[in-house]
Amino acid sequence: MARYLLRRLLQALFVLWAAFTLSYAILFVLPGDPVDIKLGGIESTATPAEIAAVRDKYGIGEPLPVQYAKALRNAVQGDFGHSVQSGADVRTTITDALPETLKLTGFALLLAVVFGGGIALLATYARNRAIRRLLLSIPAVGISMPAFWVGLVLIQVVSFQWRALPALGNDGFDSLVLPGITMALPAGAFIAQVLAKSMTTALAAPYVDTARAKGAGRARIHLRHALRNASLPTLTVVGVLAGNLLTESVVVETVFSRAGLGRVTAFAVDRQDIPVVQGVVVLSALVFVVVSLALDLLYPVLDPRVTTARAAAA
Amino acid sequence: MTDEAAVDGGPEDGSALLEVRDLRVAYAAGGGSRGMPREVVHGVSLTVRPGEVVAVVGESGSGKSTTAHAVLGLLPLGGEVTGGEVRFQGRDLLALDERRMRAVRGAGIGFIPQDPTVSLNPVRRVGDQVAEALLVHGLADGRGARARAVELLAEAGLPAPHVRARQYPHELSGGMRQRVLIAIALACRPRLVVADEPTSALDVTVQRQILDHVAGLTRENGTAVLLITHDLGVASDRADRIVVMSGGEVVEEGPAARVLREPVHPYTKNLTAAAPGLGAWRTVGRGDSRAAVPSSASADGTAPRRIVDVNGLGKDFPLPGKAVLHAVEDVSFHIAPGETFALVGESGSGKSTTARLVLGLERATAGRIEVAGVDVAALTGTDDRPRPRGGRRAAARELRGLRRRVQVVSQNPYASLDPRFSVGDVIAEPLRAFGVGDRAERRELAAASAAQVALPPDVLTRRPAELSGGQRQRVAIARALVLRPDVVVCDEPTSALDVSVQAQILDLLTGLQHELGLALLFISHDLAVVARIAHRVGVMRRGRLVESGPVERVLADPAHAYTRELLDAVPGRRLAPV
Repeated sequence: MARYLLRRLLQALFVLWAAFTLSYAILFVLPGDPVDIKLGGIESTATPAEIAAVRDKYGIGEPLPVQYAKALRNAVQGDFGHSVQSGADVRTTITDALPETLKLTGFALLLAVVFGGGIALLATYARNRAIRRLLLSIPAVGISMPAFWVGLVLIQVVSFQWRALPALGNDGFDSLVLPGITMALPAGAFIAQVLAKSMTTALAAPYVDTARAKGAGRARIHLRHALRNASLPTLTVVGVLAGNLLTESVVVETVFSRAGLGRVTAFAVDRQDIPVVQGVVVLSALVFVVVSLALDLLYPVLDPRVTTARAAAA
Repeated sequence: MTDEAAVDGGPEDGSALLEVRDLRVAYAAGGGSRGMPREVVHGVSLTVRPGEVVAVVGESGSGKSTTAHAVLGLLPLGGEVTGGEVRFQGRDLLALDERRMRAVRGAGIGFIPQDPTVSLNPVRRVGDQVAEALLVHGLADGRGARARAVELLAEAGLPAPHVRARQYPHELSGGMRQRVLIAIALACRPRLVVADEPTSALDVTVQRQILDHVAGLTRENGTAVLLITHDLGVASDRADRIVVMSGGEVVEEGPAARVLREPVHPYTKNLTAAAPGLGAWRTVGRGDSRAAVPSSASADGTAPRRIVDVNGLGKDFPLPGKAVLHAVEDVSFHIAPGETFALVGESGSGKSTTARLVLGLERATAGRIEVAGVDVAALTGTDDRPRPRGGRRAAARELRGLRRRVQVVSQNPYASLDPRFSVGDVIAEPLRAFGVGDRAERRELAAASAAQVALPPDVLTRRPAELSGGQRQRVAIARALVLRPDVVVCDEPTSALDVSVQAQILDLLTGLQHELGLALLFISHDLAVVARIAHRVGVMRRGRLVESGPVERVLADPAHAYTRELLDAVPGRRLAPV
């Protein structure tokens, strides 16, 4: 077990390094110059001396390998430097924005799991063909609607027409509802599709016949026998979604004018604020790595046949 | 019951435990709601009296399993009872609502399913799964049920039941899992147990132990058994009465001994004649279908010609940790042209691995395999004798050349044919692979090969899915023969087929062997099949060849204890010719 964890930890470090390096390379080859942008772009009135001063400050004048090595060394120490735009510490910028985004994505994930899972269970539990079909068609609709469009419609109807919930800002739980629903919709639809499919497969399995032959009731068969077997593929999906929601916060926070990591990212990318973008990329990679490690440790608990840890440790 | 059915099931004394009357079951066509439902069980009637064992025998598609599932109200999706009655202890089960039916399942009628490897919930401990049977009927509380589950597992013959109860299904062997399922079926002491092919997925020696055990337990408790089986041997050994089904109807019914010794209905006569299990090894030499070995082999006193010569063959597989599984150890045998050598053994005995080694699909750990004078093991390289450096490409080329001469017919004709190919393409594929002839010539060769295995010409344009299991296996044989090989490796070629079809395929193979002088390496778990086709046989156990020799000698006078055990376990001894 310890060796397995160590190996996974090394893999995680490799992924983080790769994410850092890749983002560094991509941002390097992108056209445009952050210093230009900072100093006002084409209409810049800065003198060459001023430009050189800024370049020196951010170490942009140095050869590329030296820049990269320095950036990597600092990143390892958790220091991603200072924002080219605001001059603020990148780590502080991110840690300030993160809680709002975590609230949003956490709420969205909860909604997605509860409603997606609920629809899948109801659809497979329903005896009535028409109800079953209706429930199973909901996810397809949910997946095909783009988040920004759903967000705009919700703002229009719920906030402006009904005046029920705030459209914009970070003002308590009320302001979380609409963006949360917007993000949860495609995610929940995906969960519903995967779980409904796995449930259908599990319910056709011979061990379900064995349970029915024992005299077990429908609820027991669905929840105690089929659901646990069907939950594994869904768990994988939830892991991927948890990471994706972070990405999606870029769009949703922009639509709902929420402060958060998504906004910080959008702003930084727009202005080629390399240190901030890198911080965000590495953080996203960290989230993916942590989530997938957590899932790997959870699988053997849910399915005794999965013994990755034991096999690897042996 | 149909008019032509021969009935002598005894007087209707009204004490029937289970009485099925004119049962009709239909499946929705194409799985959808439109279209006429297709009836698969046409008015079946049968009776099981208390404590009696009744076997329902038939081939696949005869409706025997559907009948069993209908009794329990467990028809698969789309299946529906369209007529008749199922009376259990006087109550019509078909008239019960789901809640009342649930009270009958498990408590009144137990069920032993077909395949123990998939019939237990993989994520729950086996003890809990046994306890559940008691819990759902309110026969025990949580703790009591768990304690009772351990007792039930012990009763079902599971060693160390208190340890096993805490384990998950994948930690148990197939036989042990079937014992768990038996514990579940008998947990509530039902009056009737429906057993649907309870042992067909198990090795014969395990099958025998399990069936003995079920027989003992049910006799002790006075439980009646409705035994569904395709195996006449099993039915003859275990049942008081036999019901023969064909095409969704009961064609014959009566006391077991009578039905099997003096079958009345033509279908039953065919079935008993085709069944290889009925003491076939005692009749070896009389009316068997084997081709005579060409006398040129060794009659002139010179060393026999050998097309396959295997010496000291070994294959290890690494296990987790430092352990090693010796899948094949020090196996030696040879096959002459025109001869059939059979490797018999139970699952895990290494017989299939040996076949894969001969085919050059696995790398041997040790030993030599010569096929037509070429050392296969040297071409694939072995662990102690690596392939010579630089000669790799030449070796690969030579190995490929060898594949023309050694072909394979595999176990499952449902999986071994590409469903998107037409039958003609399937048969011609080896020709394409080796660039033999042009398109027209290949088509001709494929047609000739199909004719050789007695496939009608029109199947060449059809897809494998449109063919029956027997026809598919013929296609596989045609594909193996199209390159005119010297050796054909048959890996359990008939074990997925019904007995009557099995007999046809075996006759076909021997006919072809006679005609073409093929050497056959025949892998099988079924001694009866081996007795019918092989000239010589090797018995494998745990990777070793424990005994080998002429079939007559090995089967009539086995030298090794394990061979005797295997022979004793073959069902159908009660019906061996006297």
